[in-house]
Amino acid sequence: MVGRRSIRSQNERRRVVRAEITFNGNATAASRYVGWAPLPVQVRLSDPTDATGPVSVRLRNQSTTQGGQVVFFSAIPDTARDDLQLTLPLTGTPVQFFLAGRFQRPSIADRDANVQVVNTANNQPIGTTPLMVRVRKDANTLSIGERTRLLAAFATLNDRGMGRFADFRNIHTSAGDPEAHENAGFPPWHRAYLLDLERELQRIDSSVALPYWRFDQAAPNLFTRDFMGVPDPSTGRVLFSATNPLQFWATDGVTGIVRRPRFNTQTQRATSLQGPVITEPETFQLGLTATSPPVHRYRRFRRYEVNPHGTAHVSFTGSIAQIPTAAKDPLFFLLHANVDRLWAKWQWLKRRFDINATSSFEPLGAAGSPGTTRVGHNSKDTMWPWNQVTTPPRPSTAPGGTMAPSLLTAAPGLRPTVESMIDYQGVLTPTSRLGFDYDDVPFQFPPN
Amino acid sequence: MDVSEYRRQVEAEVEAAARSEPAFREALRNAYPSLRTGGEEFAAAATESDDLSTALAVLADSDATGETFTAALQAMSLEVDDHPELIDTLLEYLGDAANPPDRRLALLNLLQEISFRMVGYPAKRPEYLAVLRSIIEDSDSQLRRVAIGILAREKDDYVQRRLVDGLEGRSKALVPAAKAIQFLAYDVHSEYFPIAKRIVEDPPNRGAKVEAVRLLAADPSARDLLVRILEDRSEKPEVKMAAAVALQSLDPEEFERQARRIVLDDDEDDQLRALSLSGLTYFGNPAARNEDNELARRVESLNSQSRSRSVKKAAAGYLAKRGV
Repeated sequence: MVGRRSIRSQNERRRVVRAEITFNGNATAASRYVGWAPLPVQVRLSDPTDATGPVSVRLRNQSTTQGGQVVFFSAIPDTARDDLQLTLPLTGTPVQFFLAGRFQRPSIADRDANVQVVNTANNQPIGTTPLMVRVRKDANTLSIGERTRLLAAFATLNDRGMGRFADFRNIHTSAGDPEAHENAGFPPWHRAYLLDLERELQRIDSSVALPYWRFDQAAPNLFTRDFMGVPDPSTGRVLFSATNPLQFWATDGVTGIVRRPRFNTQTQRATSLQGPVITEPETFQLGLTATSPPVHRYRRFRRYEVNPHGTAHVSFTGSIAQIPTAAKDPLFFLLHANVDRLWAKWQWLKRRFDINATSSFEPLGAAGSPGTTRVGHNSKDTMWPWNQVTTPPRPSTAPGGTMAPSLLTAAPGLRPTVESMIDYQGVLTPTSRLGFDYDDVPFQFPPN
Repeated sequence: MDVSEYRRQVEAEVEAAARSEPAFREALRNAYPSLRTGGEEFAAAATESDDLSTALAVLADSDATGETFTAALQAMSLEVDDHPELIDTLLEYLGDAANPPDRRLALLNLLQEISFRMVGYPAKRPEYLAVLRSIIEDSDSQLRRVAIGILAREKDDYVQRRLVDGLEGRSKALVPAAKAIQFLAYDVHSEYFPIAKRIVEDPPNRGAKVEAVRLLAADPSARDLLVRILEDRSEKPEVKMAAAVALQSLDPEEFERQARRIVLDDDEDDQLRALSLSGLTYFGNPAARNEDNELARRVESLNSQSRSRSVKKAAAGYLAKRGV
């Protein structure tokens, strides 16, 4: 017995220095999610019992082969590092650093990434924090687990048409049409709309990120009975497997989804009767002006609202082919995630994050100022319905309330402006980071 | 891959796209070489202007091939933003019954695409809807059906009335009964419920019956009818599944009772049992799920012994949710 106690005592002595990590100042597990954009993270000695002075530690991925991977920054802007050396004060005062997912190494399950804090004096781990590198992925590539969690969260959010999803369905109608379409605000409005929905899905299951339907490629894994369904040949009614929770999808009091593709979903990109959606590189080329030399400008790029966006919608018959009914179909949100991804990728490619530059967004200013357009589509305007304004020319109701908050960032606030959607990764202003990323759109600091 | 290297790769892809012309432009140039004056820059204004003039020429040319016509529509889809007057031309073509139906249908599809931006052209919208109403009796069934669908989704009173008249036999049906019910479901009115109930009792075909059952999810008085369908041993599984989903929407507690009964009944169809079990898993009362040991034992047995993959999968999901 004496011998056993002695061994335990030695083990305990090895463990009495402990470190803990908090994300964005929040200690709860619900905050442990990162994308590609660096997130402020704090590490401190939570139990310094056996330490006699500041403790030198190294932060690293616990495993470099399994699960999501992270990179470290001592400050921003800085070069991403595989590990990070820090000195933690004995007082327990937190030391800040920045953490991001390693590009192209996202998680596939909640908490499959682990940051380990190692005491450099003895190379012993003194803390491990599980987290998730959570990014929006190509829906065609989701694992079965990712797909199952997404569908369950969607079905729960909808809850036979009586849940919170009904607000999202009621926002995207003829009444909201002028707020969302045919003007400069089309991309930022839909970015806010998706972000609000994604945050609501994450309240149900925090491991869910909204995937995108890459409509310029075939997506055979998406259009299956186990995922977004296949059409009944005679009626266009979408058929699901018996275990798919979307079986119980209901909107406006009626069950089911009607959607029939005009193209072969197993082998073709989205194709309407006037041809296929333009490809991703062709979409980026839309941004070019006719000037000499041509430059990439937002007001040219947003022509993508017709093709590929409109073309993707009308590559089906059914509710998704029309504004008043499109949001009845959950595929709508995957389609729009891709529309948003195209904007995000163009922004990254052409470095269009400056909210004061017309190359990034136009028109600048608030409605009523010289050179601006109708309200809701200028950089300084707030966006309906999150602004809750119901006086003309805004719609007479504002379903859903303000923007859902996030533990990962204070942006864009409860009543987002158009410009709050532009620097979504916090490339130029770290506090503007919205807390989402796409698997193929990396984060890069601006060049010196 | 290093992010800088990734950037170079993406830039190379975009440059390659800039060097090659879109297929529609090549098709237009081959069809109408004399109309082409522009250069080869993808985004150059002169070339886009050429695209538009060529596309309009194609529209007026009854001898244009199908491929050229499609290319013209693609060119117009990119140009409508700068040339909203194109909408008038397209509406005129669509409304003219002398034009080939397949081309009018393709053109209608383009107008649908443009309608995502129709808010920018509010004066065009009434005209667009008027042209659609004018073609709901077109001799081409596909064109007719698409036009009716668009109007139904716009909650158009006129088309709703015509669909009801068709179902009631007061006038010739514009579309098959199943489609008519589906279209009416975009804007449910209580006056549709007696029609749906009549179709459930005396359906012209199974598709119409399924659509009618789905519509009745919005009718509070349909609860007993849905239960009767679920308890009818002679009813087809497809109809019973639609009834289960409708009941779950209408009366979740009654759905749970019925779903439990179905799971426990070995004579019920496997797909219906899997669906019922999934409904209990995702939407059932958690307290009831945790306390119902009889059901849990049956589900465990289904999980290990059922020959149906769907039932096994649904059973595994139920047990996982119950924490077994």
